[in-house]
Amino acid sequence: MIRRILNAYSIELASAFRMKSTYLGPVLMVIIILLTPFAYPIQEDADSDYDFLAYVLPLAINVFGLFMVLIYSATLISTDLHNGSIRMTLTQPLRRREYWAAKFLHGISYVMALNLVALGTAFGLVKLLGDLSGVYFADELLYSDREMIQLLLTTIGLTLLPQFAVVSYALFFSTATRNPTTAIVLSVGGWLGLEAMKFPLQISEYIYSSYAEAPWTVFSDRCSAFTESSFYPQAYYGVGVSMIYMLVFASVSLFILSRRNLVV
Amino acid sequence: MPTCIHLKQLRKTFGPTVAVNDLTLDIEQGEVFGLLGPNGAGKSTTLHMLTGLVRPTRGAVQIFGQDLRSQFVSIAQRMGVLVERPSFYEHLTVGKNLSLAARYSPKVVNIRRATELAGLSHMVDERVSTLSHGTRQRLGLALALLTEPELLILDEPTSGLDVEHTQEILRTLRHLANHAGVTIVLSSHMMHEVESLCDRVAIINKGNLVTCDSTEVLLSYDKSLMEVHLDAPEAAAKRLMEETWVESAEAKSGKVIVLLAEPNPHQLISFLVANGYQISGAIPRQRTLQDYFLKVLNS
Repeated sequence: MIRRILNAYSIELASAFRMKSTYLGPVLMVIIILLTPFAYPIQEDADSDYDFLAYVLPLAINVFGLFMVLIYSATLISTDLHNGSIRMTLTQPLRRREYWAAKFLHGISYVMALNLVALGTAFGLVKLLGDLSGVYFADELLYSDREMIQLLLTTIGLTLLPQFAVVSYALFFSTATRNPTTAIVLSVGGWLGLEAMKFPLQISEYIYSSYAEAPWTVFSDRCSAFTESSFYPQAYYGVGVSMIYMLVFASVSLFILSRRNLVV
Repeated sequence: MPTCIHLKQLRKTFGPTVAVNDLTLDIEQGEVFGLLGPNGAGKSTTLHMLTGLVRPTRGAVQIFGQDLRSQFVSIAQRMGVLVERPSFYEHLTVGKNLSLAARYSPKVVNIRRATELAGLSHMVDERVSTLSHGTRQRLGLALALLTEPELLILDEPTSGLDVEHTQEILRTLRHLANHAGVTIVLSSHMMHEVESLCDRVAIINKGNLVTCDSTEVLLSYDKSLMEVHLDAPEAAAKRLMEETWVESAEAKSGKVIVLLAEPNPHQLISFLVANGYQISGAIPRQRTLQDYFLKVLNS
């Protein structure tokens, strides 16, 4: 089964690499990051510009990136259902759940690609225009350059699971509807609704997106020389909540897909 | 011949509509089997259930002696499918579509052979989005033939093809059945295609199996329709109608068209001769599958 999933995943990627729309998100991500210094300047002044990274990366990954992941993932299955190409795929030696798993891996790869593009572009920009030499407080080195980079990678690592849960969430709408536009509208609309309601309803701790934001707060605090903030125990909650959401959306999607009649 | 496909009380409903109603059918290995029926009869739904694209509401599908649902992967490795209005990766070329599909198969796949059989050798570098309907159909056929399957399931295989390509595809399918022992199950609206290609035919109407028999037997029904040229057609027709083994007798200029209850022309000729009619000719009227199909549906 694993071999078939990986095989289907490699076919997915081979097809995606040849589609122009695949590159839209990463290209826009690069443009947004490159334009950010106009709003949040970077200067070569011997002050570390980690605070720029703490500003631009959550914006790029958590705001723009998540919307791109929602849109991209929402079209992964609905497009196949809409144009009928799912029938070509599912008459091959591939089970429906394996097909879904390959799509999920595809979505995860897109998340990873966006994160890498964001990280690479922001980091390159700061290296080029600013300084990265640790975080100081009153001439005292609080965090070395190496520690800050480790911290940055930990932050991104902790936001990955919530982002994977976003893929699972969007794939649910992609499986439930036959039309890509409907899938996008439902997943983005549902997302916006949830984001707008989670604080008034005091349910933010049960919503996985909250855990995509929390690690950046810690990173931002460290950039501002606050030493008290910690990833824990929020990181554990983040893993738990994201895993639960991923499993729930995957189970419901697989149930829907297994019962779907794949006729035009 | 061992059974290739066994359908047992297969039923599919879409809401209140019964698309296929308790269909029980056996298809033997190496057989070319045709599914006929008017639009909405349940042909495509039956074929979709054979390919796993539609889940039956009730009943079982066994292919190569294995249950389709539980053993789908091992069955699909031996099966090639052409669905109606096939879809592909539009942004890729014909060759790339085939090479990607080939990666699903655990076998070594000969893409060139598949393109040659489908008559697509000169189009492998064409982008799918630029192809005509007929060429897309041929690409669908190439995909179905890609893994040299033991079983081919084809929904309207010649739909949208011109006469030349239709003949080419039919020859290819006949060759595969005769020389490679491939079992072929197809649905078609083209009666003459089914007549020339299929060993056995099932007629489905409103989800029910109306009849299922070898093409030879179905067409042997023709022998019951005789055209007899004789001296007194009106009188002969009247006399024949009194016999229980005659279903109908119609006099036309110089001849009488007789529909026999049993395909026994000798009985008819002997009867007419014994009754003193001068027969100048007796011809079994050639009926087509289309005639039979219409008669069955009308009855």
